[in-house]
Amino acid sequence: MSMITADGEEESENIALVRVVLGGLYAIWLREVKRAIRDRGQLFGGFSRPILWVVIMGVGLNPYFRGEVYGEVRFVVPYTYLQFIFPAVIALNILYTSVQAAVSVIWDREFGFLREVLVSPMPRSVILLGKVLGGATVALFHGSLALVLSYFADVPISPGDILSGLGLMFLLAFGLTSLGVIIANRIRSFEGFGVFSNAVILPLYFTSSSVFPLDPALTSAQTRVVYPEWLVRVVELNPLTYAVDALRGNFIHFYQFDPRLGPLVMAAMAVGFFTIALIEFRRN
Amino acid sequence: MAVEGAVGISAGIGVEVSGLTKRYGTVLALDHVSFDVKAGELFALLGPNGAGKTTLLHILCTIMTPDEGTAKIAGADVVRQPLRARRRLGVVFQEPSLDDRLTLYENLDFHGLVYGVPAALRHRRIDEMLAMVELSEWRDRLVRTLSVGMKRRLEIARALIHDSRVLFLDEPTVGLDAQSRARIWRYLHELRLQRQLTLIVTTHYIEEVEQADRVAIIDVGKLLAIDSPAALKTAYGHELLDVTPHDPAVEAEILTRFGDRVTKGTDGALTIKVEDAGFIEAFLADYGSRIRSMSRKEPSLESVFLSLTGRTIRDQGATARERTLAFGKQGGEHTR
Amino acid sequence: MARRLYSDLGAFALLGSLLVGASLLQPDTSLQLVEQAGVLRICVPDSFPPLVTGVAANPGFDVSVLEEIAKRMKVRLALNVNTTMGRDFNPGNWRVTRAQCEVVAGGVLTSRTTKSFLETIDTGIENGWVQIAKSGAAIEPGKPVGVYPGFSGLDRLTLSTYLREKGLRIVLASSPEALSQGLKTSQYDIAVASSLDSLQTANALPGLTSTWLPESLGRFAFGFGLWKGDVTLKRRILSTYRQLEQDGFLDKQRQRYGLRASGPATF
Repeated sequence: MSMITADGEEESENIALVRVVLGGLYAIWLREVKRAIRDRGQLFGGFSRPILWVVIMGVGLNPYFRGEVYGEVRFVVPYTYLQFIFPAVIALNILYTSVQAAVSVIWDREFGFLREVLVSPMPRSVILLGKVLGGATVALFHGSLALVLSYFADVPISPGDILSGLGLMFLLAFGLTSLGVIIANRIRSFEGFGVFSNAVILPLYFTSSSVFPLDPALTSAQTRVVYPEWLVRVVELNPLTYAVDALRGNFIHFYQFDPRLGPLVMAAMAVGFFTIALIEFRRN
Repeated sequence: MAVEGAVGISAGIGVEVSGLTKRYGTVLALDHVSFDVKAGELFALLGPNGAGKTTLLHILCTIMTPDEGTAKIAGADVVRQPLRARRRLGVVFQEPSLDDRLTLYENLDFHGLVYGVPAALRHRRIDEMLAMVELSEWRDRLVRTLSVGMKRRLEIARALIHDSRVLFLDEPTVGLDAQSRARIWRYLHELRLQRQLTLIVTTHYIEEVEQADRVAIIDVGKLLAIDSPAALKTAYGHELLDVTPHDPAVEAEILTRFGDRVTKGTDGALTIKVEDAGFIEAFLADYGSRIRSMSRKEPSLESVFLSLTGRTIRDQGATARERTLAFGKQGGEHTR
Repeated sequence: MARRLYSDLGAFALLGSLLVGASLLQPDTSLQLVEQAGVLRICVPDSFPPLVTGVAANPGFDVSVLEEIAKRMKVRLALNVNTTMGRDFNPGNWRVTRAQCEVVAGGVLTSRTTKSFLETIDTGIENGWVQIAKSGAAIEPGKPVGVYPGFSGLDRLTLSTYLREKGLRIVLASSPEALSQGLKTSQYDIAVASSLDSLQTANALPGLTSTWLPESLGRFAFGFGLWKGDVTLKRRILSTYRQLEQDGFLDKQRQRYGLRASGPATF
């Protein structure tokens, strides 16, 4: 039986490399997607989070943010509270799922699968790219789950909005998954997802102007009268703030910051975090 | 060499290692190791834990870079052409490296894709290899439902989905029952007949080493001997005497009398090297009434190992040095 | 393989239907309360022609449309006429509250500020400064121009600056009738008023041309206002409104009150 292919010729080597890169990228991506589908806990979280945040919390708080007296401004944003937090819930779902992809990096390392990938003929950059693309795809899917509730939240969405929204969501998911990989590389002993949830996800989420607005009509001096300076500063420093703002601009056409800032920060996150993750991955 | 001309062996060189050196901090894990493995050879690496076997294997698998020296897999340099080298090698690690949330088929398909095996060949080979390791009917089960032995068999199948020329097996039978061990060796011999495959196996089961074409004995990062099992036994083998003394006093006496010819095993038994023909009779005359049991062993690789390293192969307790090495391998932050 | 796929997709379908189910839940009780009471109450000023006229035969565009919407929702329409609306410059003094009505109409601007306490449904009617001129009349420095500022809430200051920059002499008119009179007597050939106020003049004097003044002087869209947070009611009124647009009812009403969906009223 002869199973050995011709080799030694540069041309066939190059073809083989192309096949390895494309096949490998697809294989790693597919594996991430399959694992995500089979992880019932993660899947359940992806579906239940929008329900909890939009349906339960949104409805629960609605009476406190609704209009009562003509001319009396209670909630500075020209939208209902549900409409306001809706884009942030998309970001939250992406955040959770992206960071969960990082956990899969840890398990790969602990359970040896990483070695199977490392001895394969794929370049390191392809391995990482496949991993991040897979994680980002799953996160994008989880993010778009929240869109199902757009009718409930009274956010009318045009097909164009969905398309541009998916683009933004993917950009965010890519950046956050890379961030997750960076964090995973630093974690030596892993004791559950709670660490991530409490130390990364929720702080980032709550300080991203997701659940309370920084009123754009007010000058920054006036904003600091409403909120203490340290909080305003934290919100302004959080890169997720600008991602949430971009999503909000896309879905409810409301911006708190310069509309160009959001996509810019997201692109910078995607490129920056991926580069750092790649440098670290190569070094190991 | 005695094995020249045997089935599956061709003139080519499978693996070339020359002057390979690796340090963890100040500790030498590999000390200028050089050897060649012929294409189609079954080559065994014998050595206690921490001897440098795993480090050597990791360098040959390109997941670790040596500090000095070169290594080539089927002609591809592991440092300068790692991607090319990886396409030619298959690895079965000691700890499983399967994704247990995927099915058997999906694991094999992943491997095929990652190694750039074209679709038709990939599918055919997945079926062939699953059949060879007798796991065809488990094809669509999740890997986590498999037993340890089945996982090991699946890993062997996986390492052969692509055109691997050199197959590394790190303790392929450790932790398995006798039946599973026999099965795995049956597959490996079958493979050597089917494919022109170079097998490099690390193990500490002496009887498994006996079937190798050649054996390399490594300890403390040094290559101590390399030859066929028969040649090694002729050169370094001794008859051994396993003795269990009645009481500590007798033990102490034996230890002082025979000095460095005696080693004490972890189970309390003493192993004494037999150096001259009349030794056993003389020993029985002196201690016959003061020992609980005694057994005599023909020259074996175990005795070869003992005379080369001064230790029995089964002494597996981790020394401080080995612990340091293990720490280094895990990427401990103080060592690099 | 197929079984694996089914079990993967099964969990998906189950959770998916849960999510879709949740999206169909009722977000609030606003529509339910209106239907229970059988009345849709609206707050309107006493007069803001042509949106609200106070005349029973032709009650105004907003009132006529809301009447039809209420009819289709199978509830009665109740008017809560508020005389201070639009007159006092501080809306807080109007005392229009959730307790009085579900819908505010008759000159609600769909501006960003309004949207911070109301949800608005755009009716496509705009207000802004409009210039009405006799045929052949053109703006020349030194000429008089009649201006009726009205209560529209449009910025009078920027208007007067704009007109002075053109070198025009401003003649104030105290009512739409006075403005028509001034044109009729040729006291001036050009007049400026808010687009809604200009309708009366245009109706009184045929043959005038009407054009928007620059948008920078202020241009607002009108609509219905619903209290923020009443999603179910808003959804229902909006869908009924769209129905009215489709079956031509709105067009009929626009003709009846001399309005066009967008742009200045036609003459």
